[in-house]
Amino acid sequence: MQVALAFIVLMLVSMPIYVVYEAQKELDFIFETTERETSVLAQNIAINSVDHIVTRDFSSLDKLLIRSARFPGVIDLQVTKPDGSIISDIINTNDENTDAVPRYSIPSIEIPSIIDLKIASQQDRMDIWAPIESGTHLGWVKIAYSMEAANKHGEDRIRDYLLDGAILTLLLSVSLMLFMRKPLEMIGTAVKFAARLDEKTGKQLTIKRQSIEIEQLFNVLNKVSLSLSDQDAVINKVLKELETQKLALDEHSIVSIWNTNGFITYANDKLTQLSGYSQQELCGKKCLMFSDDCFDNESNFSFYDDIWSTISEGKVWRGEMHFKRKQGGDAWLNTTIVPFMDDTGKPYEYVNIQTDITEQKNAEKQLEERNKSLKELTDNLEVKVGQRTAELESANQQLQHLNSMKSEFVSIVSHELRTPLTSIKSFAEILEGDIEEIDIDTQRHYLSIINEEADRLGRLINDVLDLQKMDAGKTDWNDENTDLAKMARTLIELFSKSYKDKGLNLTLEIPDEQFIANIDADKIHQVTTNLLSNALKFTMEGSVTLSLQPIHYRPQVLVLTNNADSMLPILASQNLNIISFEKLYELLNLLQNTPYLSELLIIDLTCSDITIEETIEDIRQRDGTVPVLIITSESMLIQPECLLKHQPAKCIGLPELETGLNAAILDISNTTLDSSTSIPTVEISVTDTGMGIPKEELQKVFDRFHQVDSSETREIGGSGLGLAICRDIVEHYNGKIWAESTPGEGSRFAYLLPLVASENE
Amino acid sequence: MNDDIKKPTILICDDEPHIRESIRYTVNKAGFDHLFASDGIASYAMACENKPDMVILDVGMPGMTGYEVCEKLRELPEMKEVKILILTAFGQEKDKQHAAEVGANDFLTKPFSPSLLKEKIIDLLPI
Repeated sequence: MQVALAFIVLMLVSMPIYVVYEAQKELDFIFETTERETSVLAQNIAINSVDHIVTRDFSSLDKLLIRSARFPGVIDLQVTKPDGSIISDIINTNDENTDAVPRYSIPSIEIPSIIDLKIASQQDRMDIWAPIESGTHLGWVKIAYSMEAANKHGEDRIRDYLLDGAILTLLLSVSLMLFMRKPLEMIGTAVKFAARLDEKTGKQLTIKRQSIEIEQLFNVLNKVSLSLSDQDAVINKVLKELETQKLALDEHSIVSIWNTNGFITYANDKLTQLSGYSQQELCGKKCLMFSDDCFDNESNFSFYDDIWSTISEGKVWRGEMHFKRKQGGDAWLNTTIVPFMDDTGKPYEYVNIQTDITEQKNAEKQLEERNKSLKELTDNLEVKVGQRTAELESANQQLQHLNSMKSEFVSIVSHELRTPLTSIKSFAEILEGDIEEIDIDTQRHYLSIINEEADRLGRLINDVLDLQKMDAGKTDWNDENTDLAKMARTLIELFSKSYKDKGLNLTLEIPDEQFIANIDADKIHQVTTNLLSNALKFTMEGSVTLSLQPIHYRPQVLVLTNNADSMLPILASQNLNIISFEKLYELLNLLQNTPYLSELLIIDLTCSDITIEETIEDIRQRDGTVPVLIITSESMLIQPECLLKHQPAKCIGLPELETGLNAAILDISNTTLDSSTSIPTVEISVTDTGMGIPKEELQKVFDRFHQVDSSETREIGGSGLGLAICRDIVEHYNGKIWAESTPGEGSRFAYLLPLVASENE
Repeated sequence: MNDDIKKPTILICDDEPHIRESIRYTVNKAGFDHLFASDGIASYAMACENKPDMVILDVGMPGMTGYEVCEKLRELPEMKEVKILILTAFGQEKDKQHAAEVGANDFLTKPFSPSLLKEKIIDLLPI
């Protein structure tokens, strides 16, 4: 319909334009014709008037002009001299019955400057000029021509055209309307139908016989209507479901919808109830904050930042958040934010589904606090219990150790007591029962055995008591200046018979000098006696040598380092008497073979890949008591735990070495080990050619309570008390006692005694 | 007693000479010949060499304990029947049990009465 209308309007607009254009064209033609005709008239007059002007026959000229002035449309005719002064001037009366008349009122006229045109057009008149020439310029002919007729003719033409155009337009429009009406109505119906498709889905258009296109259009529309109807059914179903679900969701959850700027655009009743804000208050609020404190700290900021960066990427965010209620108090929400995406994959809103977990959260918080305080309590308790347990464990271990040593001791003592008792008991019973049968010599022999064994029993009891005393610190030390050389000679005499009886050679190696020390002579006597007795007991053939040698004892320090060039000078600057090793096994071998030889081990681990733990354990397997100082490349502010288990041992870092070495040495060995302050010392040793002692036994033979298997200890034959007493005595005088041995070749027991004489005597 | 008939022999093993002497007296008095050994290794060697009728073994000997000697002897086929009496200065029940485990016939705790020793010997070697 609009098309038809537009067509008509176009026709109506274009028609006048066409008409005006055509009329103008006609008018122009009329003007041109008029102008041409008038010009011809003016030239004719100019030619014809030449003779009259030359002959000065002005009346003929007037007649000529009057004749010419009858020409329709001419207003007046003028002939002038070249300067414009009028020769003849004829006015047309415009009356068909009267001739034109001359006029004499105007003396001259102005000659137009552009006379080439010879035309000066005005609205309703046109001036045509023509020169009068006959060899010379004689003057001008001017015809004033009225355009009235031409104009009128033009107007008439325009009117005609307009009328024609209007009639044509009308005819066209009417015929168009008549022709287009039906299809337009059909299209209108289709448009109306299409417009209401969404309302009245499933309706069908009745297809009338029309053009193919319209029928197709109707068919398409019907199809669309049908499919829309189907879709509508689905959509309705889905909408209904959604409605139900929304209802369920609203009933269960706190639901709000946020726009992409973070403002709330929808909030359900649950949210208003929980927050205390009305719908109106909530909508338009920044979704993340109901209170000002939401961004009050960095962590909150980054928390919300995280939410936004997640959901604005189109990902679902899940987590817990909290806000302040209007009426105060925190609300905790278990939150799922689902971005809804548009076709371009950008979120256009966020649906925020939340459940109120405030109570649960508070309960959790309380529980957490309770747990925390409980844990603190427990931790404290655990620490205390741990400490106490460790103390108890350590005490228990000590007790167990002491206890087992005590049992061992009791066992050994009882064994040692039973042995002499067996002889005494046996011979006493034999003599009692068979006194008549036994000859007198045998009787004496048996009685002497009883006597001897009784003495032995007595000695054993004394040993036990000695140890007991030394344990309790109740030993009497009757120190006086004693010449150890003299004592040695006495001992040789005492033992010579026993040795001779066993076929052994007993010799004394002694320089011709005195060895005076302020000691308890009985005790040192006891030590050497013990060593000589043992040598006698365990040597089957060969010789035993008692030797006294003066030495200047310098405390030995064994150093393990694979960086001797830089390490040894540092240690040497401390006046240490150093024996250095490069290989750990060499050091360990020495420790095993000759224990008690060194006062200190310094283990340099700065250029080694052996761990502290491995090192100390290796050493402790060979020597349980030697102080160990370990040098590490890094600063050691806290002592490693493994060293605490293997005292005395200490770690020192390379950076603290030069300043802290002395203190560290003093700390673990209780002496400075300064070799420059060596004191005169005597080394007293008993060397035998006996059975020897296995390496692993060398250290243990001095232990008060044997830690080796009891039967083995007893195989060696000692009670295990003699050497223990010896060690206690020697160490009482700041001496050292040790054993060296090559099994099968013999042993060497030696002790060092500082020769410190008392000045009182 | 007829000197022509060879008397049964008892090997006395103890590292204590006085105890050896007291046992020898009892053994001879009971009518047996004796042999001495003063350490574990000698005890084993003497037993193997002389094949005595009985071995009296002290436990606490150097070289090998009496228990070890006993156990080793019992490993030999010809020593399966030899009577072994173990003497120990450790008079506890576990020592007695130990003696039985290594195959000893009897067990005596130090100090002991020579008459009791004699009884045990005669029990093991009835004439």
